[in-house]
Amino acid sequence: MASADLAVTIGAIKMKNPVIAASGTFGFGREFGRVLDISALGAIVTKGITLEPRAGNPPPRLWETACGLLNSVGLQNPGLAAFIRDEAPRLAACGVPVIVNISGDSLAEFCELASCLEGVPGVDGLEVNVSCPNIHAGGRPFASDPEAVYRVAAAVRRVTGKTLIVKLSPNVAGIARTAQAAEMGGADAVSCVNTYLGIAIDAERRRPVFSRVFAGLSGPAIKPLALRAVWEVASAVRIPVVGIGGICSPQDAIEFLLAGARAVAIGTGNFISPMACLEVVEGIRSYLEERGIRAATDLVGRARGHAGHTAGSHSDEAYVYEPKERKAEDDFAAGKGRSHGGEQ
Amino acid sequence: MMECLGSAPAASTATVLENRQVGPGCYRMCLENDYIARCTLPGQFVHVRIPGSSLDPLLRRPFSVCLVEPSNGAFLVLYQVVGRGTKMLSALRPGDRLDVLGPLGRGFEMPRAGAGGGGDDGSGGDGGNSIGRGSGAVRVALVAGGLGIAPLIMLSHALFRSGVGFVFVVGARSGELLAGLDLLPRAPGRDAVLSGRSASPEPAGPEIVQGAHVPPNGCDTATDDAGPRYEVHVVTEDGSMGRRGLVTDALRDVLRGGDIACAYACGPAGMLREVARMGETFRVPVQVSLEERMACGLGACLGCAVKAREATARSGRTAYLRVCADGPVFWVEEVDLDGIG
Repeated sequence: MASADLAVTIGAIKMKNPVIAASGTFGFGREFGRVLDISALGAIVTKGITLEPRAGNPPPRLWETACGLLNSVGLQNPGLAAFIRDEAPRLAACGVPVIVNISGDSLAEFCELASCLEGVPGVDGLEVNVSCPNIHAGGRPFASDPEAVYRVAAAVRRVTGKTLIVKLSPNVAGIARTAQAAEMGGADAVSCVNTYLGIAIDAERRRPVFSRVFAGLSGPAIKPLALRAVWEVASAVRIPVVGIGGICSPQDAIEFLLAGARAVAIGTGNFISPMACLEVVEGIRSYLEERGIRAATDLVGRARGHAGHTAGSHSDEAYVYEPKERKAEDDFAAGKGRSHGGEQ
Repeated sequence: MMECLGSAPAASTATVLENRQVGPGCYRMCLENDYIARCTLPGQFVHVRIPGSSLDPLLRRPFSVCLVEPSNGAFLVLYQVVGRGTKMLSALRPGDRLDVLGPLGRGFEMPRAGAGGGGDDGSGGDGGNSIGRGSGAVRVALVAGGLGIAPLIMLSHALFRSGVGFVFVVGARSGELLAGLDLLPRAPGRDAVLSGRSASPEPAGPEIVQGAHVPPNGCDTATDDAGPRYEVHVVTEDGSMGRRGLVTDALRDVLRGGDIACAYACGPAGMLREVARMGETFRVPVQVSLEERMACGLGACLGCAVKAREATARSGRTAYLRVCADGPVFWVEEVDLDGIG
């Protein structure tokens, strides 16, 4: 049987397969690189980078839940300058597309991060973390307001020619609207989803486990929720969707592709098996070859033809995002132009 | 921060050779995995998971390697059943398989062979941190609380082979919770344990056990033909075995002797803090092996953070260190022990 074509394209990034190592779970590649050949992955997304170094939150930072993991790491990272100096050269030599996850607390910070990374060799794309607090909106996350997401995406778009991915937060009223805002702002893709906010309580000590009370839930526990988010977002935007949420096995990944994701990212699954990404690549290959399916892209959205009337029409009608800040968009449109992945 | 000096970790499987209860909730598991048995350094750990489709519990579990036998491709871990993960481990039978990732982390920094000589170039502290302070310092102390004895057993074998004398202070709440005393160098029953056939009971040791005087056959690194001497001091809180009291009471007496060049400790947070204080008092450098909730085990996820001491933070490092990759063994100057446990 002919070998299956696993290649996919996200923005300008040509990936040899649709499997990405998710931000925050894979460090800067070299940690897992001691155990596996990371050049076999579709892409890696780095630990979130901020302008200045961040110490992160005090321990405990982890709490295991039923089939899930709560974390409160708090964006510990060495800062932009140290990343460019110490990590980027190593990443450039890894033979795998590198997407740098960036976090800012203002539009200006996001822009500075993106501009400083623009000329850095080995950085193929940016993943914008809009789950972080916006100091100009009383600390509310950018993600909670589609207008803010639009502005961040448009602002970063203006300063970067690299592939721009917006990482969506599921902790919002309508994730499809946020996705549309990112698309209107000029994102090449959205990744869907970041962690779900949760709480752990220590019954012995009668207090919250985490110093910040809220923590991010990941792992198989959130998979059905993430699948639904991917389904809704894929209904609402034309740019590619990177599916994330509890993917541990090839079957999990295939479900996300069928729901409409062009690629998948594996996060917590790396902790269960450090080889998870490679196992998923091989599992997708077998799935395609055993069924005589030519390419991984042939799976994208294929479950959607069977959608009941409610799921389809709900998504199509309910989420139409119109940016208030028309001028910003016009400025943008006059500038760089937007590259849609097309296909859906 | 110093990366692990040993071999790169590998993800593989290990076969259970033996898994038996050695005390209330305490188990000893012998596993077959040639790579781990050959490449693990004292103080390093393995990150294990029961293979299969169950996603609950989700994460792997880290265990210090207690002993290795490279010639048999076997290694040993000690563990206590504290939750569902360890409960499931305790149900494993000989022949069952376990996913094993390792060896991981930075292990103990060994004193130079020849006892007491040389400084340490790679420690986190200043010159006062040297192992061995001039002539006359000839022994090191090992301090274990409960199953904290596990990594120190492997260290004791390495010291023994290197000809370094040591005092092993071992404590627990009660005698039945003392595990692993029969695994010390040349102690009765050790050879049989790793072959998986032994059922020899824990020795009801006296308060001080005089150690072996002669290195085991085949040991080519012993520095003199008499071999190093070692003592074992047993302490229990209820007095059911050895001296009644805390392990740190016995340690204080040992440190008063003035011939201890360095101390190695593993056990409950309170014990480690007290050992660190004593190290300061007696000017003895101390290394501790720490535990923290852990996810990746490889230094990527930053989940198993411990707070760095201010001096360390000031020197330009981030304020948190990773137990899995920067440790699990730290010099006490590197970490803020008030923040653990």
